[in-house]
Amino acid sequence: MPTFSRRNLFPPRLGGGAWSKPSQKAGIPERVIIPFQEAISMPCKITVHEGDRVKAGEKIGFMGNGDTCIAVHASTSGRVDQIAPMPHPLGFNALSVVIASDGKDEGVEAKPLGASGIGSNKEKMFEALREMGIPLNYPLLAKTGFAVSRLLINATEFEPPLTSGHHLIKEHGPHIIEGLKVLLSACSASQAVILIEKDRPSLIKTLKGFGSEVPAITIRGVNHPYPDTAVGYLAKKLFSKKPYRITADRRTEVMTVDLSSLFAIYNAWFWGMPLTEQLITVVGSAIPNPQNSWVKIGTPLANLVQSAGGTSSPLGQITLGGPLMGLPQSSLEVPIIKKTKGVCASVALLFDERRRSRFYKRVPCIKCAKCVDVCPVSIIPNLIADFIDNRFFSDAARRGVFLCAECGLCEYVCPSRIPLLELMKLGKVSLKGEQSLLTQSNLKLLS
Amino acid sequence: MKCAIIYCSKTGNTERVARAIAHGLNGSVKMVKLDFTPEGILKDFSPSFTLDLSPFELIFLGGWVMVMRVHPYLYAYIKRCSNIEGKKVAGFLTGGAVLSRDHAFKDFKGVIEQRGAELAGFSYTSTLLGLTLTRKKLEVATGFARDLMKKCNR
Repeated sequence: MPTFSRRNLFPPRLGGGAWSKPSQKAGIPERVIIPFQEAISMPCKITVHEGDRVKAGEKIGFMGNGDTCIAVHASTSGRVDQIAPMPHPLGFNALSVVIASDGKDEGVEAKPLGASGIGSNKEKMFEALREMGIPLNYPLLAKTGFAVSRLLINATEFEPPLTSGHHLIKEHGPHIIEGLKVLLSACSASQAVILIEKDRPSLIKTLKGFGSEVPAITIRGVNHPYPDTAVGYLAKKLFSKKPYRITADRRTEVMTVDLSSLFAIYNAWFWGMPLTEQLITVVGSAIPNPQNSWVKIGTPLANLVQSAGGTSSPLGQITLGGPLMGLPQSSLEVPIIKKTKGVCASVALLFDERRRSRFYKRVPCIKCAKCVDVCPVSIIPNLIADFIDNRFFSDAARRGVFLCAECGLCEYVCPSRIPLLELMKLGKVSLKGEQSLLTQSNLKLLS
Repeated sequence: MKCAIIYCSKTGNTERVARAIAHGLNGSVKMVKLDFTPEGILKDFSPSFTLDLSPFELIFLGGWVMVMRVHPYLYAYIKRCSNIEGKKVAGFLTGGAVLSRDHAFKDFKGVIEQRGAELAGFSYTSTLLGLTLTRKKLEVATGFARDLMKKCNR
């Protein structure tokens, strides 16, 4: 049967068309929305008032408390217009500061951290990075006494059309390695592993060229890209002596770091600039000119779509992140936050109800095992989904439902259109005993 | 002459026919593949997708015949696209059975005329799950595109 022999499983790589162009600097938006909460009822403190004038890079407050505390900076100069709950990418209304830009983008006086002589004191170093607004795994650092044994950097691009991480290596390769050196000395880690796809030889060459001086840095080529949610699994496979042991190995503490964080550490250490800009890819079928651009944190999505030549009329879905794992957004007023890698805007068409057939509805699993082939964490999605569908949750847990990285590849390749990703999420929620909108009966309505 | 080929393909037969047609048009053509999720969101990420057909003079629309009618993806596209009025449109459909040819032609013609476009040509390629899609049939499709181009240029 043709369905079985022609296995075009992975979505096409570099399908977005943004790879061949150099990155650009996006224009200054009219207003930026800077959220102060990353979860509902997260504590935060805002130190500015409505009507105050702020400069780019000025500290305007902090969010979180204790170990998770991190400073928040104004990303452009202007006047504080409003302090009110605004839509957050995660789907709730977060307390945010709205800054009306004056178009000048004046910055505060920069004080490089490297010149201030705090290099010897680890605690002060991380306190300074926290003040610069760089997102790192601070709870883990505090737990281990600022001594993490290994660092893992996932430089692979899992989302097929996004290329922002690769662009960062292409254009700022030496800077990333400098940032990594600072982090290595700060947390006295013995090894830092950078994972990158084997089919990007130019990037591997760049990294190896600059990173060969430091023996602690290892660049490792992998065959397939891994999602950021699977790095825990990868860390266990790479560093643990017994990778298949169920209980966690306490002796190896692995911290995963983003590429953008490394570049931000470089900027803070050598130039004294806090994290106010982010390299993101704007792609999708509704975007005529896909591009990589340096965007101020807090820029609304509408500005991005407009600057890439898109219009809102054929827009069907806009996701923060790629098309596979990204979060679908409800409005174009949602701002860009830290760690955003890209925005994907897709076209949607309405099918005629009379012409829809059973081809486009859920049908029973035909056991083609395409989902098993693509799964990055080597579980059996169709079997687990079948268990969850029939409410055998303990069997699902035994088969490794908690290993699922929620990458969405299984659902992408499924010819029977089974909502595998939703079933996995439902299994996790039911096993943890959490309250959720996702229930067995709701899922039946959807499919 | 600026041409566009818009097609949907599941197992790759229509894609082969579309490539043969592009070969007949000397390759200077924009190709758009329609592939949607059940919610109607386009799966492809490439920026070649367009709903605006104003820059093109000759438009090829292709798909596989489902239940003796035009495929829902192609139907949804024809319904939604803009500036198709008065344009020259050619159809190339593929299907397992030869019998469904006339039904599919009738349906396709109806849909095109509803949008006010002119049907310049029609071709139907019979394939049996790819087994009978021979090189000769692909050459016929190439010839069809070449002849249509000549006719429109005159």
